[in-house]
Amino acid sequence: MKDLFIDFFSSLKLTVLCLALLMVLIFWGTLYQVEHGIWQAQQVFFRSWFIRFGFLPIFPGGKLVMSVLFVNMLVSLLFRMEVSFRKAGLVLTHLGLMLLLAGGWVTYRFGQESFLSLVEGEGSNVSQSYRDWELSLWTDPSPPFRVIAYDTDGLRPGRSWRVPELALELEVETYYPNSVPLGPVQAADNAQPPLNASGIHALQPARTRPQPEEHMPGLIVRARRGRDEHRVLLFGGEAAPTRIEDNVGTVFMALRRKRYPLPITVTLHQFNREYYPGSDIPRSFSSLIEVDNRGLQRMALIAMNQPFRFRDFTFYQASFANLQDGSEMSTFAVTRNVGRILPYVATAMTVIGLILHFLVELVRRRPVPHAQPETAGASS
Amino acid sequence: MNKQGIWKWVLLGLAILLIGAARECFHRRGRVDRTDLRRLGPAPRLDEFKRLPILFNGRKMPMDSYASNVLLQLSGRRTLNRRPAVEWLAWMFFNPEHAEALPVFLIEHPDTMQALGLEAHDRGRFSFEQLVPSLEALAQQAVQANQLEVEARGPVERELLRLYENVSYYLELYHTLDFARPNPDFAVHDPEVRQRLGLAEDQQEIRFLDIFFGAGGLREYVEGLDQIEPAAWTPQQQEAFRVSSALFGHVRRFSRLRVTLLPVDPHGQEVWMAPWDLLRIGITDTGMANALRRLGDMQQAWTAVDQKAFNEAARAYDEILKSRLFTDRAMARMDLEVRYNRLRLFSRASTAYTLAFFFAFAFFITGKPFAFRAGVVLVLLGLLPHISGMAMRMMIMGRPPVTNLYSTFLFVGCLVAIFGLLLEAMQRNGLGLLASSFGGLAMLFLANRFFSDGDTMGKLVAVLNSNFWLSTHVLAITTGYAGVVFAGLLGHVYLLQAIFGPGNRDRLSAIYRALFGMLGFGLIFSFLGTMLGGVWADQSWGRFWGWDPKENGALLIVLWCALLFHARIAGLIRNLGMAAGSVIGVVFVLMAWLGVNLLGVGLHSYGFITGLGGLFFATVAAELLFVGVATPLAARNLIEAPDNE
Repeated sequence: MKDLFIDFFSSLKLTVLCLALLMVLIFWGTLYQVEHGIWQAQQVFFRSWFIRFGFLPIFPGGKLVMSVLFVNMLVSLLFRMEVSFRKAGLVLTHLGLMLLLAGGWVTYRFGQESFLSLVEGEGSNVSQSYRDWELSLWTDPSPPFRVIAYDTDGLRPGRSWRVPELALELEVETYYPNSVPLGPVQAADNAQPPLNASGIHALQPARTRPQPEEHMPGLIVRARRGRDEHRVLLFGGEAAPTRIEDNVGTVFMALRRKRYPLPITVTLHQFNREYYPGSDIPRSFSSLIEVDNRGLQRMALIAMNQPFRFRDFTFYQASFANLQDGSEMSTFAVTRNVGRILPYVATAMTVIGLILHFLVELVRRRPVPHAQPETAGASS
Repeated sequence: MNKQGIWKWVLLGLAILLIGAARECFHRRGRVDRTDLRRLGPAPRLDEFKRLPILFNGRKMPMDSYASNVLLQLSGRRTLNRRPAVEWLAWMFFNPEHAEALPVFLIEHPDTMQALGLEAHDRGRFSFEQLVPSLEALAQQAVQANQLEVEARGPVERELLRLYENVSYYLELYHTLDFARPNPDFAVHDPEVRQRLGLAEDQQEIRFLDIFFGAGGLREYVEGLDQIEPAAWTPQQQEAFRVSSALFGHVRRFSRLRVTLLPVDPHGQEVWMAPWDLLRIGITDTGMANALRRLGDMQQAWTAVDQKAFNEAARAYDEILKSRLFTDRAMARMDLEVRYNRLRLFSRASTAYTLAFFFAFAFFITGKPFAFRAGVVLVLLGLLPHISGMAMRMMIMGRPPVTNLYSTFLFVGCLVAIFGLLLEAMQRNGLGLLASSFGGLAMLFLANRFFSDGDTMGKLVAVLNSNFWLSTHVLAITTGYAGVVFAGLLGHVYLLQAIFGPGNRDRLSAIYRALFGMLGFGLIFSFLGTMLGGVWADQSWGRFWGWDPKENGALLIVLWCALLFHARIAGLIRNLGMAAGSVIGVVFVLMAWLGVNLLGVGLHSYGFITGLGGLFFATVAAELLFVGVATPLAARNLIEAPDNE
């Protein structure tokens, strides 16, 4: 049984199969992007165990293929590959590749991508998610904010739960991952409109889009406190929270992009952009920021190809916008990745291993015998 | 061949030469033909003019390059009637009225011609004169096409928009030096006013420039005119009023032209302006005023066909601009770029590679040492201009050798040629020469045919603006392409050898060893390049890998090479399989290299790369077909051949 396992997982044929499957996945996944966007392609092809047609798995997904490849390399290294000076390069190469796959997994599992948009002069110590949303509740609108937040992933019609801190009971009536707000004229039924800060009367579900960043979720929730019941409508695109007032007190509610706390406060001092003279070809973008680490302040510059790093957080210049009042807004991509260094090490190991092997075989300079496939290697 | 035979050929050659010379004389001396640049009439030579700087698409370039980029944008070609574009540009600057009948507007689609009511003709190039009656229709339809969403525009709409843009640019070019050309609007007859303006007695043709620099003299006539009834104006006042209105009218009419000739402030922000805008804001600096005067001098000398005066004015103009930009190395690169344009190094390299290929083929077949030597010398003769050309580009741009798609082909071609020579040094069997000359030639052909759209030395957008990554990631990945392409070439040779000469075991195994090594080399650099791409992405976007099409393309090459090696070691395929596989490798290289650009909306701005998609799919289909047919044939012949594996 054990031998069978080892034979199977150390088989070169399995390697060839996995490489071929991965190539098919990549090819298919690249074409898929044209229609469905890159995020969807990543989900369907590379971050899945299986590609499904409806519920039916029809093709192994990237996660499965790469996991098998990893096990394949591990088992081969342990039980099959010859460890000698001649093969040192190959061993190093495969160790590097395993590290590369492991690094990919760490990033996928623990990495966190968010963004931070700042107008000149503005500062913040939270970044926002591109795709995840939260239902947030608070009572006191003055700093320091204390917010209770729930991921929107779990919101299903009919679901209810208690918020003991606010003596509140919430029940979801409707939740749309992407929606369009309707005003009093467009909303068909003229029943009592729900409570809403922006004058929205109803929500209409919208098709999900290839770029989930563009989604604007909508939620109608019943909030019960004591004998009072409020029907509250929240929409992702709203600027102001909706305020509930009753004899127990005030509660603010909002549906907003999920917030991630940052270990520092970042303030944008100045945004600069340069064009090649007489053209609209951008030469460079950069943002001068002030970083406040618990009272310790310093300046830093974020530019194209020149991110700012703090512990496992990295801030990149992502985009910018001109606001109507003439001020400039700079957007940073903020990533948190504990495994950042892994692919660098892995790449170095693999390349050194490959070059070593190439040179060793070049020096041996022996024609490849056909009868002994194991000794086949690069020779000139 | 006997002696008589040789004489016959010599005589025929002489006759052809004579006819050519006569034709040339006819072109130069013959009647003026306004539709042919060669017969527009006498004009000064442009050696000084073509090195003058101009700013175009964010890059300072000599007039020579500017002209060829603009002409390419308009007509899809870099020359007009087989004359350099700069000759056309000089006409556009100094005497555009006379150049209106030159066919410079490309219209490809017959429907576009119909939509504009143009009589279709096969060459597809129209002159401004021919377009004039259709300009109104063009403007109307272009506005409509512009209102359509980008996806909804068909080829005709796109062409209408492009044509509209081209005509607009043509008109801007047309009027850029209007101020330096005589204009009846500025004719002044009153001797007193003429004197005030500082006009010479015998000067008949008056230009905007003459009035502009003497305009102080008009002030006393024009001041306070609004207090007086027009009927009571003196003739001098009338004349002064008419001329100064014309002055303002011109300045207003020609503001914001895009032909930016003059650097206004070299300190701090560098701003280049069109001459009319400089005139509009009022010139406070004498340097630029002199530059405008020199443009005027050039125009006069051009019209008078006075070569000496023309060159002097051009040199003086150049001196003024140089003094403005003395810190800027780009100015020193102007001459270099003119030389680069003139030498046409890559076309010389192509010629040498073509000849080398014939000799290499001859040697491969016959084994004559003479052919071998000729082949080696010719590949070296090809590499010389090839490498010099890339070196000149690097000096002009101040960049590593690869900055855009065009230069990847130059670079890969160069590497393939070098790899071939190295292989030849090791094996001495003609194989390296064959791959070397063919690869070099094919890459230069592709670069020239499909990727020299617009400025091949254009500026790089912000994310690419990093010499470090350009010289590591980009060079590594293109070296990887070169390795895999070279292995692919050897794969072709192996399959053909197996079909037509399966008995020659030595040669087959030599080809195989070279192929195996090259594929390994390609794998290493493709992997390195791909991962360095990840490192760059991590540095600039914050993620190492995102399954983006370009990344995927590169990864496919790596995976394919890895798959071949593993399959070979596992015994799933043999030498023949490796050869067939490396031919398929070329397909993956093509996908990574170009497929990504075909997948999206397209990389090119002018729409002249027609046929790239066709070429891509034809090549892929041809390679697959080749493998599909050649592999079974080769396998059969290898089995049947005596003394085989």
